Amino acid sequence: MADEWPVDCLDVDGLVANGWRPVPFHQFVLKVHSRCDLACDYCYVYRMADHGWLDTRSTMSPEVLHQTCVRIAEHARRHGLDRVEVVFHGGEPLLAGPSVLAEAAATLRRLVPGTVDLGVQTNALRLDDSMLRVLEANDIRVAVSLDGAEGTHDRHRRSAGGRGSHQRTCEAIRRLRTPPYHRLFSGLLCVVDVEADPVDTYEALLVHEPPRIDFLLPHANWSIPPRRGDADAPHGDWLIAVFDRWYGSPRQETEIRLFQEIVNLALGGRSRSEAIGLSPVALVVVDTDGQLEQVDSLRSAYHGAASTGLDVRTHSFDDALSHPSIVARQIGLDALVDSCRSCDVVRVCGGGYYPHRYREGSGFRHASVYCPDLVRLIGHVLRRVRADVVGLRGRGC
Amino acid sequence: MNDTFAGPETHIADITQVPLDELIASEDSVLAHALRRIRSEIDNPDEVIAGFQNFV
Repeated sequence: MADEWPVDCLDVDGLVANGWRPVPFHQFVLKVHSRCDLACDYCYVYRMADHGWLDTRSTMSPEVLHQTCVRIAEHARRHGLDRVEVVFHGGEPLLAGPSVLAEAAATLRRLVPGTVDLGVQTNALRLDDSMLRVLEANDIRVAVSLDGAEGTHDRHRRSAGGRGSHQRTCEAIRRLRTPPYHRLFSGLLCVVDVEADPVDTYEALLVHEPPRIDFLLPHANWSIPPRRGDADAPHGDWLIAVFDRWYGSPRQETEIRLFQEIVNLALGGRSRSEAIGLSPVALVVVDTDGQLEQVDSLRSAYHGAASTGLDVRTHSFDDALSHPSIVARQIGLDALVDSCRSCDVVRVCGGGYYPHRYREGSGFRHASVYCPDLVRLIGHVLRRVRADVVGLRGRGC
Repeated sequence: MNDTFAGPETHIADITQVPLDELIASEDSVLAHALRRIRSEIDNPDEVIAGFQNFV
C-alpha cells in the first residue's frame, strides 16, 4: 500500500524542531453510546467505509467514563485551561440513559478546574420529559439533528424498519422549547440535500426558532465522490440560495454557523469551525471503548481512519497531541496541497473539511472534493460582503 | 488528476476605513452582527480555535 499523508509522511519531530507547538484540546467529544435508533442513509458511523462500530461496545463503561473525566481534568490543569467543552455524542447519546449523562456531568464539574460547558447532539427521539429534567438539572445544552421539511428529513433519517422520524423529532423540539428547558436549546444540524428546495429547507428549520443552525455537506471524498448529477457545483448553488435568504433578511433571524464563519473570514477574522478556515482544530474524540480518535467523521474515508491507536486508560491527551492525524489539523497552510496554497480563497476555505480531502492511496493532502462548491459559495459571499462594506463607506456610516 | 478548481479572484473586505459605531449600535442585520463580532475579536485577540462541526 502506498504511503498516505499524514499518517505515513508527516514529520512531526521536524515541525517541533522548527518551533511548532501543538494547541491543547479545548473540546472533548465523548461517544457515550455507539448504537443508534435510526439508520440514516448518510451516516458516517454505520453506512460508510468504517465498520469499527461492530467491534465496539455499545455503551461507555463507568471505568472508561471516569478515566476520561480524569484525563480531561489532567489536560485542563496541565495547560491552564479555564474553560473546556464536552460534547456527548454517538451513535445516539441519549441511548446511554439519563443516569450516565448525569454522572458524567457531575464528575466532570467536580474534577475539572474552571468552567465545563456540556452539550449533546441528538436525534431527539428519546428527548422526553424525564430526560429533559436531567439535562436541565445538569445544564447540558441540546442540539438536534433535523434535515428540514418532513419529506426531506424522512427521505434520509429513518428507522431500520423504514419509519420516518420527522414528526417525533419535531414533537421533541417542541418539548425542548418549552420553559424551563428552552434555555438548553443550542441549535439544529442539517445535512444538505440538493434534491430539496434550499429556501424551503431553511424555513422549515426556522419554524422551530433555533438560536443557530449549521448545514453540513454530505460526507464524500475523492474515492467516494458526492452525487452531483449534471451540475458542476450543486451543493455550492444550494448553499448560496440559503445564504441569500438569510443574509438578505433585514434582521438576523438565526445564526448559521457555516455562513457566519465565512463572513467573519471575509472581514479578516478567523474561523471557529473545523469545516472552514485555517484555525487549529483543538478537539479529540473518546470512543465508547476508550480509544482516542481524531474527528469521528473521518470514518467516512476508510476503515480505521479516525483511529490514533491510543487509549484513554493508558495514554494522556498530550500523547494524542503529537499524533500525525491530530497535528495535520493544527498546522494551517502547511497541511495543504500546493494548488490550495496558491488559490485565491485558501484563507477562507482552508482546504475545506478535512475528511472531504481524502483520496485512497495518497491520503488527505488534496483539495476538498467539494472544492468547486466551496469556491462558488465563498466567492459569492465575499462579493456580497465586500459590496456592502463599500456601500457603508459611501454612506459615511 | 488535478483535483482543484480555479476560483474567482476574491479579496477580503477592507473594513479599516468604515466608521462602524452607528451601524453596530443600531442595526440587527447579519452584517451588523458580523461587524460586532470582528470588532470584539480585534478588541480581544485571544487564540481562535476550530470546533467540532457535528455539534452546533
